[in-house]
Amino acid sequence: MTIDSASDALHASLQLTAALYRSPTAALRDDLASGQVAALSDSLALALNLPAPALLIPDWLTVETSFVALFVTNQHGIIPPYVGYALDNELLGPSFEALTALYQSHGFTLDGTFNDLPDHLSAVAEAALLLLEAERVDGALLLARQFLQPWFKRYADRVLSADGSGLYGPLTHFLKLAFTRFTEVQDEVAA
Amino acid sequence: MKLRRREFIKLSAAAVGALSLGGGAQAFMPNPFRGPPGKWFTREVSEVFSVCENCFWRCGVKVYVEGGKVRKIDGYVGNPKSNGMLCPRGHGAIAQTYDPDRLKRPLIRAAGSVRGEGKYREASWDEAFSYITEKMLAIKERYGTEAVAFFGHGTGDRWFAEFLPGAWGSPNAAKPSHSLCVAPRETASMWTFGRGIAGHEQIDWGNTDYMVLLGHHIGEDTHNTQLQDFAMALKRGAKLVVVDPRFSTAASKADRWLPIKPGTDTALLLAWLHVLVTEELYDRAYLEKYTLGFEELVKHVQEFTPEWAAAITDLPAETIRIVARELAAHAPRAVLPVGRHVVWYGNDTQRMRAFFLVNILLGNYGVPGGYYLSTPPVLPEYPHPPLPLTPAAGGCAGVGAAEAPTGFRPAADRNRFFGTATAIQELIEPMITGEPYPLKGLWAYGTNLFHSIPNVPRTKEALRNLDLYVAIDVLPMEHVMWADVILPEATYLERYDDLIGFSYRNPFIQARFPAVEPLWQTKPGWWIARELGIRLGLGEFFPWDDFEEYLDTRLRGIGSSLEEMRTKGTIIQRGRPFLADWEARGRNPFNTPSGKIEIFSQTFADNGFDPLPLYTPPAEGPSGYYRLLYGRSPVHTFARTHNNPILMEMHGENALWLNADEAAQHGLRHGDYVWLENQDGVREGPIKIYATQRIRKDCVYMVHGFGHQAPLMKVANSRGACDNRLITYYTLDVISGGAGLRNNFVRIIPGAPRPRHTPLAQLAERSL
Repeated sequence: MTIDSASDALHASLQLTAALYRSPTAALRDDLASGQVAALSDSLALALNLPAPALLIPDWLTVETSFVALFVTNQHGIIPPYVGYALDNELLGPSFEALTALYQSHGFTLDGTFNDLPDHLSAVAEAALLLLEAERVDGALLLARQFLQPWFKRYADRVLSADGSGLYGPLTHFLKLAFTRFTEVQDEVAA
Repeated sequence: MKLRRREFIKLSAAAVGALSLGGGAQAFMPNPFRGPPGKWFTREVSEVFSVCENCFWRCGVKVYVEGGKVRKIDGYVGNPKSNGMLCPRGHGAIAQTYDPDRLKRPLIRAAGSVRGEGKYREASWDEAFSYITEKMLAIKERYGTEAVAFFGHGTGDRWFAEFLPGAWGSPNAAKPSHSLCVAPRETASMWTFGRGIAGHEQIDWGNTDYMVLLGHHIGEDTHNTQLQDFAMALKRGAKLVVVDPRFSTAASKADRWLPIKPGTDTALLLAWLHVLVTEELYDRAYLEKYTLGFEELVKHVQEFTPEWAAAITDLPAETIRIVARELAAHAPRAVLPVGRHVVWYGNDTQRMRAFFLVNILLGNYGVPGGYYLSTPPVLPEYPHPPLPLTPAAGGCAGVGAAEAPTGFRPAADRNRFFGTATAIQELIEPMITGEPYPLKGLWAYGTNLFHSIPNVPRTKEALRNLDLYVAIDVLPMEHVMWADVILPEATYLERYDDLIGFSYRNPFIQARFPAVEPLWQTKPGWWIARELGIRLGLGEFFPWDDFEEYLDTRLRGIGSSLEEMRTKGTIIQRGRPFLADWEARGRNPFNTPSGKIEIFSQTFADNGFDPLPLYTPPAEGPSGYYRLLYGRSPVHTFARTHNNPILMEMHGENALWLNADEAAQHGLRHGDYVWLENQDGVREGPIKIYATQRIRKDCVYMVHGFGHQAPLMKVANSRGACDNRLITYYTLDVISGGAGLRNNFVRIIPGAPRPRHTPLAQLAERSL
């Protein structure tokens, strides 16, 4: 599989983000077991000229318990998977409000199956994916740059050092590099 | 290449608008300070009535919500618990709702991990319920329903320490608020007056002229309106005497401070009785009309002279005599107000009996300026089939069921003491020994097992022996992270709760409405109890359609409705506060066997206890050890509030009060850190020395609730020291079942390092 455009690369980054940070379910288990996650991250690394993450695919219980320790019970220090918290140091703060206002004005709705805060990494990534698929590349980039990238900038190193699964740490670090690369590209275009 | 997607978010095609690329996230952010000068809000603010859960005074509050977020909490006029004012815990509760450390979704302990290891995986509510149901039914099949214990503390404990165990069929339901707090006073009151004290200590502060506080933490426990009333009484000119080994906050306002030797209070009370009796300073007409057994008391107290008491209490005999005379001079508007945490030395019911007898001789019970007679509000239950078992958990609201259950084994703590309510600490041993029968399951609702129940190593051993341990809580407290299943409860700002009725001068009912939606997958306790109940085959006991219908039905039983309550918050009924009110209706308030106030308790005599109180010297500590005393902080409640950065900013660490002369002998200076080691070799600390003349030389004092060993609570963890870890020993009060906790002793080990705490804001990485 190859990634031929910046849009495809962004799409891949967002897919990985959406898949990785939501509560682990059968979907992630299947994607890990089938090698889809590894293949997608390898392709993305190639496209962005980044080192491919050295992923370990741990047993499923390790995935589940690592996720809880990292992102639910804050066992390794506070790493809340909320973009608003990364920006404001508080839950439901001004960045959260800005994001939810943005959701509202652009017609996003979260249904009852999503039992988390709307500024959760996976929700923001899914929203960006929808924008991208609706050919609203600028919108997707905006969410990636202004909400996702700050989270990775702040927390990726901590996830990398705390993670014992071999999955979350390397992938989070890799996604940090990917989102940084998009920002650099955007800045170059703007210049 | 595509990963599998979850379709929880939709994008409406019609609504796709323009997105700005400039300015970063800040471009979208409303400026919170953009509103008109002096206002904290920029948008519409809704007001919701609720009841504070941050201590057990239960103030009625108004919650102000802006943009779906709680912005402000305040008391309101018209609510007898807040009277328009609130303490810091009430105001600061917002930080608990928006605490990133909160439990967020059900967790199940990872297969292969051991309790206490803290390894969990997420689960859906359905999966968690299925897991619990399977284990519960297996325990029932093998050991019987009684083999599951239920512990609860907080407003929702009604569901987990009363209703659910009653429906399930376990008498082993208990609250720390009984045997680790009020049991002796409730038992003494029941067998003296035939009435409990209940959750709002019924002192007619507004009319009293002379107050004697005995080990009472008023001002440090911040029971809102009690403190307001107390302050107004002082302002009005009422005299105050404080009996305490420590120069407490209340003592600093007193006309006299009596620095009594710890554990000798009963001797002082007996001496006061002696003076009142021998100098005939009692209310003869009151005694003749309302009491039984005065003649026996006259004989009983003859030997308890002030000189006798002086040698025991370290208080001058003349001072003892003077205070008794001053009390009598102000009677009946003189009162010894009853406190809340009265489990001290093991002889506590007898001390409380002596305490009440002084009040009785002053003729103040049921009389203005003394104790008013509180009555519970009229509030019918939601109609449901009778529960198989009557709850026996007791608590601040009084004692538990008096009758042994029919068709079930008696509670596993029976035969250890006389009282009727279950003693939480006495249910730990059966989890280890299996005697008198095994307890194999445990539910802990809002009860920090490691900060409340004495002898933590024993509690941990008990937890290891269980087949099922379920914890329901808001935060990942240390005991929670031992559970097999963790069920996250919504905070009080996010939920309804059952109506809260208070016995009071004029009884009242207050309601809690949700101000905001629960965050994450948290759920109210009542929802958890009902869902579990239904899965356990107990659905007939939970017949309501939804909780609003439940509340509305109860309120309609008194001619009100949920809608009316939504606009009022509190409904006040008419009480009968004084004896004259009862007599006008031809009613007798005393539900004792004799129908009178029983100075001499024939019931106690029949059961092998002293019918009149006697002084029992407390155990003495080893040489070089200090008696460990503990108390409260005005901005914290038990071990519940220490992850709240706002409150921790006000009081972030406890200290050890040590007499300054003693500190000097140890070569310690104010602010030095030490270790504490108790009589069993348990070491705790470091803790900072507060060297002061405000405490006697034979004891030390620390505020309870600090010293969490809960790494998942980022603010609370490791700040200060924990008194309960030093309380490895207790003396059971064989009358009430209370655990006398002040029979522990510590020695001081200098040279502890100063803890290097990251500043709160930096540690918590949250806004303060």
